[in-house]
Amino acid sequence: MIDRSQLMRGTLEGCIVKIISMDETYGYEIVSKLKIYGFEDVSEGTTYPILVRLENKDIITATYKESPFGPKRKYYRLTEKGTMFLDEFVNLWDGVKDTVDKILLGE
Amino acid sequence: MFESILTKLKSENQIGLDNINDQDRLIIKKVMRSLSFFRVNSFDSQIIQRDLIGMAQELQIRNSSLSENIGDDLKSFTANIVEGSNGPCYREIILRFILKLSGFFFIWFSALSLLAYGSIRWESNPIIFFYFTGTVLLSFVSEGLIEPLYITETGIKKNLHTILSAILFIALTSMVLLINDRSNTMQINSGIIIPISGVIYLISTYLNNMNIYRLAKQRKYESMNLE
Repeated sequence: MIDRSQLMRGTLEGCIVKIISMDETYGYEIVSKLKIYGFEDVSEGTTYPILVRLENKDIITATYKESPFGPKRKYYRLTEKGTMFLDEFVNLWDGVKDTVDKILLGE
Repeated sequence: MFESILTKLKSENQIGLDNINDQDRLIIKKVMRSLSFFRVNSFDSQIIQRDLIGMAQELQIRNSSLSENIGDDLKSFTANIVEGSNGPCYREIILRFILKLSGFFFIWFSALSLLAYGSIRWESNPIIFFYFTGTVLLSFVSEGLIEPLYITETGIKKNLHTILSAILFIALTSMVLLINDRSNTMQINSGIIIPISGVIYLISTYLNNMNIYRLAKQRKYESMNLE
């Protein structure tokens, strides 16, 4: 009935930025971490367009490095603008969460 | 120097494409064809291709594939990429059109002079210039705008671009045939047209390469670790 992916869509961008802020990381690792946290239906096909957008907005930056498996990997890390974006997202999310909680609890 | 960045990326991507499975290669090719230079500039689209190849290789190692991860909805996947990208470079679109037009004029006027008339001066209706320009414009619009719209579709819809392009070409040819007046001819001097179009072709190639270099610099290509 409720489209979970639609509900999660807006928040996924902020979650990806948070994961990248923790440590330099690459696409597959980002998807794996998102799955561990509960975004089971997320795949590389969902995250890649978001990573393209974040990179073009200068929120994250990328470097290609050799990987132990063979092909070069694209490693992402946060920029200064990304740190500000993350702070803004956290504040915004807290506000949205409080509002929704209040409504759901009937306060 | 600037020509080598795109060439290096293209050749690296070609090697990468040869090393992934057929299904993933087909997906990447479809995505690339839908990311025409009217939607994403050439440099960015090569970077996207490089990323997709890397993604396919990584997934292959983990016994998965790009097709499993992107799913059947290629159309929205590419639409999301286009939405997040830097968009097209209008300078590139103009330069590529001039390049195509000058190349087409060079080849056709050379071929007509050498093979059809056996002389660099021949008589023709001036409509030939309109017809050649129209043909180039049609093929430019077809490969840059019409094909990318339908390439990720399935079934009959994916062939719509061929049908639409053919209809437009037939319409242009019929129009030219109808208004072509064989008595109203002028002398065509290919001795002037061929070298001018050749020089324009070389200049626009140079400017296009410089423009790609500029786009690459904006994207900090040094971090791309090209071989």
